[in-house]
Amino acid sequence: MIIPGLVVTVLTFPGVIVHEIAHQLFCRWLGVAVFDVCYFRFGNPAGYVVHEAPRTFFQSLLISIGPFIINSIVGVLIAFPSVMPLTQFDSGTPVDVVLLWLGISIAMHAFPSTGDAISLWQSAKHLHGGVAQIFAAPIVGLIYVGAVGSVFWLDLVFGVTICCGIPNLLVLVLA
Amino acid sequence: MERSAGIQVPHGRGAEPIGEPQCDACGSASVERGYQTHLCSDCRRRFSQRPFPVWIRVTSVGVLVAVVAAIVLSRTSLMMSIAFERGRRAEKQRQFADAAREYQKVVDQFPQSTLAVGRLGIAYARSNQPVLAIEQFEKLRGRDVDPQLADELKSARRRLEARAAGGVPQP
Repeated sequence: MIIPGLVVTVLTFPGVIVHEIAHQLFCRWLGVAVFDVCYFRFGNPAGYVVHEAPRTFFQSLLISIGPFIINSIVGVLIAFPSVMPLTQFDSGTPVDVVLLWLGISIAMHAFPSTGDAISLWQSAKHLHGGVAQIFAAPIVGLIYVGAVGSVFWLDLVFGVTICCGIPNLLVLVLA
Repeated sequence: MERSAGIQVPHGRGAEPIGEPQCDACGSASVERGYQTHLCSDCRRRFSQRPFPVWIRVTSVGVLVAVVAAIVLSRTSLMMSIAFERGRRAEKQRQFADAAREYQKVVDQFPQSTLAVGRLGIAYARSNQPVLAIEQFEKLRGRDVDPQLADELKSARRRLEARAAGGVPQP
């Protein structure tokens, strides 16, 4: 069964909102002008931040991967207490279900979009040229792999893997 | 359809004006150098500090509350998962009394956990505490049990029955 991307986006809307907030926060922290923000809409893309071209490639990199950092951390933290009761101890409460849905929704939107990749590539090209492009190429490549992989639910797999995997890993380390 | 959220960066603003550039927003002549967009420092600060709408602030507070609640709730979940893992490790090392002690913590917190109750029963059975073991086995009556755990439970129960038939004293 093929589930349209719009349905997935609507079901996981908190992740889109957190993704855009993360972009805007990094612009704010780095002093980069923001001209327009859409936190969520029924369209493609589901949200966006229009900002000026940053002064350095590093700023551009941080703005592009900001959601990857913030969505991953927030998603894992929120899902953490619900993973074990639901998956191991079959003792989950409705609160656990909500926390797991919220955590995975946020974590699965951690992947930068192709728009982020284009933005990063343009910054590398315009600001520093060849050296930055060499550095940016694998990151941009990874972002495109993630974007293509989202057709095969790679974003959901990523969200579930980090939300369920990190608590399990921590238990193995601490036990 | 692209599902992830996008970001757009306007690059360049057409032909460079003749003479000193002016701030695109306020017309001031004190444009900050090093940027493609012509903005003075005040306007850049104003744009970068663009306020979050009220509904986004409310949503952010909701997410923060969820994070704080999750951190508070994580302690119990983490402690129980660690206790269960320690129980499994103790069982592997045939230290069944230790395993039972760890599993008991989990069962106290999650009495509905078939896995924890089952493992506790097995650990009690193997540490020669048949009364406590049977108490746990009885809790599982009528519940759906994983086939592998069910086999272990049957085996532990048979062993208890054999021991009882052989006249081993009950604790």
